[in-house]
Amino acid sequence: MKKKILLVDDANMVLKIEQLMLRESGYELLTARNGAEAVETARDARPDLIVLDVVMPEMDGIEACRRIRSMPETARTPIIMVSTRFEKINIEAGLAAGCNEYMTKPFLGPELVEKLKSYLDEE
Amino acid sequence: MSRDHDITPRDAATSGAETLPEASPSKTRLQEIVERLETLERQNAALKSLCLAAHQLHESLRHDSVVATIHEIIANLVGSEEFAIYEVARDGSTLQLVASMGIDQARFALRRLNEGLIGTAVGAGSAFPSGDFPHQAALADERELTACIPLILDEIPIGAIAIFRLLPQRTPHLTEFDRDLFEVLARHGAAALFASRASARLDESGACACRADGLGVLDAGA
Repeated sequence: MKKKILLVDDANMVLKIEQLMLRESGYELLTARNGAEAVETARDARPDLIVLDVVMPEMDGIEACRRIRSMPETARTPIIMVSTRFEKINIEAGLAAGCNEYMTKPFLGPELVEKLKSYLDEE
Repeated sequence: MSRDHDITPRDAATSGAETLPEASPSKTRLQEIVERLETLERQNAALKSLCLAAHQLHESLRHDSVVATIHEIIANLVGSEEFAIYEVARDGSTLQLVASMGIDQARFALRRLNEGLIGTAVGAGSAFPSGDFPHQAALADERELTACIPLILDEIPIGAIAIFRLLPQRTPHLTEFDRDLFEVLARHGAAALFASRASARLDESGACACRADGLGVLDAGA
């Protein structure tokens, strides 16, 4: 069965780039445009991994990460946070909320693909 | 169990083997192949990003969508949170700020064509910095300008993108990918902005009332 990845970003461009980079990797890709949508999709679809933007409208990635972690069905789902926010305080907030990794933008596809594989292929 | 891969050149010489490859050159070759593959992967990713950026710029005729796409490209692909997007005003001699991030909007609201780095980039149709950029002194508030991309369509100035500081976590200098992206923005951004303006004017005149039904501008003269 294909592994499911939930991609969360309010920037259409970023979502499309992530989809384009991951299309050939054989994963099933789901998308969400804000934190609230991400929590809902994570609960319903139970993805194997979540790529979560930090700065988003309605609910930001930090809050979404906390909520995803608090749900038993997604408590152990790997979460990779991606953001243009590079400051130590933001990285610490992401890790405190429960993300497994914190990547800073901009990045080209290979870095992200490698990171995802390191989580998904180890099982 | 065969351990041929562990045989050193000295072992090979003493055992009479003549064609056994040396261990270190083989490693070097393998390393070269891995590095080449990584380079190709990065080039492939860069090409995909460039194609997607160009495609996205033409996805909508709505002016706010085109500006938002330019905004997303600079913020997420270039990696800057201090930039300005200008359009040439109807008078043809000034640039008006239409979107920005991380800068003082009032201070950067207007630029005159052929003045300062931004105005000169548009007036001369040359990106800053580039080999053919004319000698021009920066205005006081342009000293932190990293790049300025004039948006020109068929030699008609449409606008400009001024990028001030780049995000500190990225390469501090402009890369080949940045320059390719600027080329995409210069050409496709200009065309997309022009098309969105033309569309808005048609809408204003009522000539394109049927567009929502998919009949398009072909009905404009009907």
